[in-house]
Amino acid sequence: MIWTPLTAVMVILGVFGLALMIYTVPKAYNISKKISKASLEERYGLEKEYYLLSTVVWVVLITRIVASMLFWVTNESLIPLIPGAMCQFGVNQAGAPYSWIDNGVKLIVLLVYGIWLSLDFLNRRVKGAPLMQSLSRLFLLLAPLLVLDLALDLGFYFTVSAVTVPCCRVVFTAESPIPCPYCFVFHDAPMFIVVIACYGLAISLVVWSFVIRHFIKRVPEIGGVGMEAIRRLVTLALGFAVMGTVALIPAIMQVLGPAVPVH
Amino acid sequence: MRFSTTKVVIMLVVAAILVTGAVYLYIRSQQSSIVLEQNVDVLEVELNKRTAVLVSVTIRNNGPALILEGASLYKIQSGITLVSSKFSPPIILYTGNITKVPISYQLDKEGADYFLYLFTNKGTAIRCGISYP
Repeated sequence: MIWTPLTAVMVILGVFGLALMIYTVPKAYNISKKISKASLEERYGLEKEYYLLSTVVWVVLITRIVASMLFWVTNESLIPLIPGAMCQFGVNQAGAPYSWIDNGVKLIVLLVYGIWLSLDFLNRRVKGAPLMQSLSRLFLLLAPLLVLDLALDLGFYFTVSAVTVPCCRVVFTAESPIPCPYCFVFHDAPMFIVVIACYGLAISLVVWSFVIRHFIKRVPEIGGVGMEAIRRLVTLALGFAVMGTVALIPAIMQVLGPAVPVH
Repeated sequence: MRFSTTKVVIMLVVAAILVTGAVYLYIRSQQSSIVLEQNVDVLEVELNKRTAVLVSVTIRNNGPALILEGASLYKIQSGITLVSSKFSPPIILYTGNITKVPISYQLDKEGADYFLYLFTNKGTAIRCGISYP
């Protein structure tokens, strides 16, 4: 383990998330199991329990989304501390195999956790919490991904050490048809970080709007609030897509500018 | 309204992917179309390892006289040209002479592999591989 302020924050977020998971999963299971057979009084009790659960899940998911962004910053900061590492590829080599899977997981966490968060946001705005059962079940479905996300973070940051690693130069040579994504995006064309983030958010927002549309068909009570949410999400998605497109111009200029032949 | 906005978002994302891919292919094709100069030997590459700066390249011209017009630094791992510049005034490489070409390009402190291209008035380039550190 390499202790730096950032790796320490990542470990703390991982342990914190794991602790809250242990608290929330049994509660979500309890609600999803009891809600269908509950009397009016029991339902009121479950509703109260659900609001507490929902608040804790918000904390867990938001911290995981923050951790997913911090993940890239932390890995970038580890490059000088690992002999042979020239980019995040080397850091991932030092933390293999957890690091590679973690990279993939971190790319989808916002999209997946956002589905739950956007649905719960709707649920809180409609009287009687009509999505309570669906959200409890959905959280149980998300739990394996959440556990994987947390476990990979802890596994990675406890495994990574200052060992000499071969970096991307062993894979990405002059003959390689594709560049090292870490060198390209994080070092030589950083404007692409903005482009990828904007388009990633735009795609996520569109997917969330599709999921809400699906739930409106199943639970008509959320129709009014749901349609309004869809309209806002899609408008926001368009905004991010436009921002991504605008950012793409300087990003391309950054790549294309020095490539213009001098003769 | 929602459908059309969604469609616009998807179209923008697809267009961005296509444009980025096309730009990358264009850069790679430009790179592969550079004709290499055969009559020049690279004798030495001088690096300041403390500051990670490429200081100079020493070359010997075995062929007819050449004029060096400019240089560019291509990073192999990211597949893009990081920096290019023109020599002002141009550098003349006389037949059989050894010439030290001053270059001042910053390299990645963590290290990487590069090709330094020195462009001649013939439209060819002298290629020099640099691995750092």
